[in-house]
Amino acid sequence: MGAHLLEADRLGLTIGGTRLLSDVSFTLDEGEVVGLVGESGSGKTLTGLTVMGLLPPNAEATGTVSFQGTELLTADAEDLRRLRGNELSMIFQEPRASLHPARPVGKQIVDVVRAHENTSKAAARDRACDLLSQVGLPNPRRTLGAYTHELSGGMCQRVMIAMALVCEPRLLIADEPTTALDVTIQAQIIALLHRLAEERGLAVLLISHNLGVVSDLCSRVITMYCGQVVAVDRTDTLLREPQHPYPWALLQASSVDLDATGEWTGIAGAPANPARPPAGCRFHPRCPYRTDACTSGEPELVAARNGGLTRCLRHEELTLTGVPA
Amino acid sequence: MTAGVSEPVEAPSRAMALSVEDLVVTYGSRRDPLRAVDGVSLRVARGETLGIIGESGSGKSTLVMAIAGLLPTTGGRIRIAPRDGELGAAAASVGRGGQVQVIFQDPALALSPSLPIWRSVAEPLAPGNIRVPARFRAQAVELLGQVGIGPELADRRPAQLSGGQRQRVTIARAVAARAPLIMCDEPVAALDISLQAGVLRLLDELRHTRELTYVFVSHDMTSIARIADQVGVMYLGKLVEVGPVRSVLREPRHPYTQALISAVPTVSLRARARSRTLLPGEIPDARRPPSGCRFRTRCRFAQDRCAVEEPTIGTGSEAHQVACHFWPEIQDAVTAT
Repeated sequence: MGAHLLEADRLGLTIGGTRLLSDVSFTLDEGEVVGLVGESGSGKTLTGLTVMGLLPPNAEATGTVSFQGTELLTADAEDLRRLRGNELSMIFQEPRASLHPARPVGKQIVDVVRAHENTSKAAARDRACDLLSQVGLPNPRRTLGAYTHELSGGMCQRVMIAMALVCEPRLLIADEPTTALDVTIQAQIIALLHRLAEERGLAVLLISHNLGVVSDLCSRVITMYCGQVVAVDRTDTLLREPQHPYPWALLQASSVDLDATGEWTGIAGAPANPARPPAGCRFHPRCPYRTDACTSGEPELVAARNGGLTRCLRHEELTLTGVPA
Repeated sequence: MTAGVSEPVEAPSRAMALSVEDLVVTYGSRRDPLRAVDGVSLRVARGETLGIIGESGSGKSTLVMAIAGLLPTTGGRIRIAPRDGELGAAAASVGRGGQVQVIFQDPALALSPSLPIWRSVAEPLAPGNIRVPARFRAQAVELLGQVGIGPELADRRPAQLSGGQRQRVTIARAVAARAPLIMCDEPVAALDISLQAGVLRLLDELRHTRELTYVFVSHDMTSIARIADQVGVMYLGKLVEVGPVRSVLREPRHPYTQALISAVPTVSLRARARSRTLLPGEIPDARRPPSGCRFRTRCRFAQDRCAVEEPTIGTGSEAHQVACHFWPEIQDAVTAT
């Protein structure tokens, strides 16, 4: 153990008696940028919140999640509090909703600095200013005194990222950080995350439903469906030859081909409910490649032909095509 | 094969479904107006889909709301053709429902939460009724069937349906009014990617079977590439480029369009390797737009002339038009690198 920065093994989660995560296993290494993709309700955000220890009191987790050797699921509140912010940080989809509307953003960053470090207000303010300029906000001095309503969505997200970086965490969990933003601003934020990961050796778990964003930024992609991890691939393997029909279908649904003659398909049916999953492979009701075996045998997450992991019974015989080179 | 720059002009006799001339829509007080749409002209041929792309604040939603009669206009002219007729003045906003319908981004907000869905769909069938008479039920159920919602769901409330199903219900309602023109304002943005394709395909089918014309606002190039025939690009209340979708997406001429398309993360191995041109800054305050070309403050090709002289979008017969003083030089520069 201890080889990986973060390792989740057979993580399961029940909230108020409803089963939401069943078998989530993945690893994340130091300085690695990894995507976590899947549709709404697949459990991406819950996985992030579990790592952060931000679950409601009626949540029951099983399995293990270890971070730098510390077991997070059994860690006491004090240990978790020390890890959060110092080592682990998270940013969310709606930056404006995560910031206090009636307090200048500079003060909010200073609060974070002073909650973790024993520094003077003036020094904390300098740190805040420095962080704001590192995340590419023009005129950081003035931004310190700004309220969220005076800032655009993209600027609020930069403030959130600055706040997440206060204690120089090892791992940043970014939950749909660009979904609420315009594509031009999204490209700026992606470039920023890319730069931060490279310069600081920051590991990033990027939660997103947008395969375009993920394939742009991440070296590996974890795909979740219905509360399970169904595939883990290197990004270029995923784009060339997906090894599970679900990421394959997501890929087909997200690629633009201007020469295509109008034949485009979504994925049949609606996402399965993790509280009442279908028998057998959970994706089988929507899978164009299903056989009778898929309806009964529950597949395990196993090593795939071209590296990575897959939870498909037919992975050895299926050859799925990715996106055009 | 490729949509060339000098594509032959389409037959001018093509019947138009919508014509917008020099449309101006302002918000705010008369003393400090915000011109959200500032002199936009466009035409959509019958049976075609015009996609509109642009950042938040570019005025794309304002444009379609004004066409639908849901916002008052300050200037310009909107003409709409009935099913088998010539372009004529758009009806007053109250009566425009028979000419134009709208499909909104968030179906959860667009449907009455307390009505069974068949009643929402039937409302345009019985305009003027506070409560839709039950005799319209059969017709509503049939319309629901056409969008893939089975009769067993007709009595459900919107909250009992999934997001994709709800959007199908709003599509059925838009179709029920038998308007030939439909404004789609980000109709799939709130849906999961696996469901988006299904809703887009439904819209495309209905366009053919019911002879509809769409104006389709989206920030998502994937949807635009799939559904639009023509595409218009808006920036700060102006239309800066318009043309056939393949031509605009493949060979964008306006530096704004180039940056916008370059910013879209696409799932392709080539795109990963490509370095993209990042558009600096954000869209300026529409109350105080830059002089001359509104895009010049973020344009890496801006020259002195751009600050004094406002480029106009060509009025010529060419299909692909652009409002930029320097586009031929810029395109040469971009293809050279």
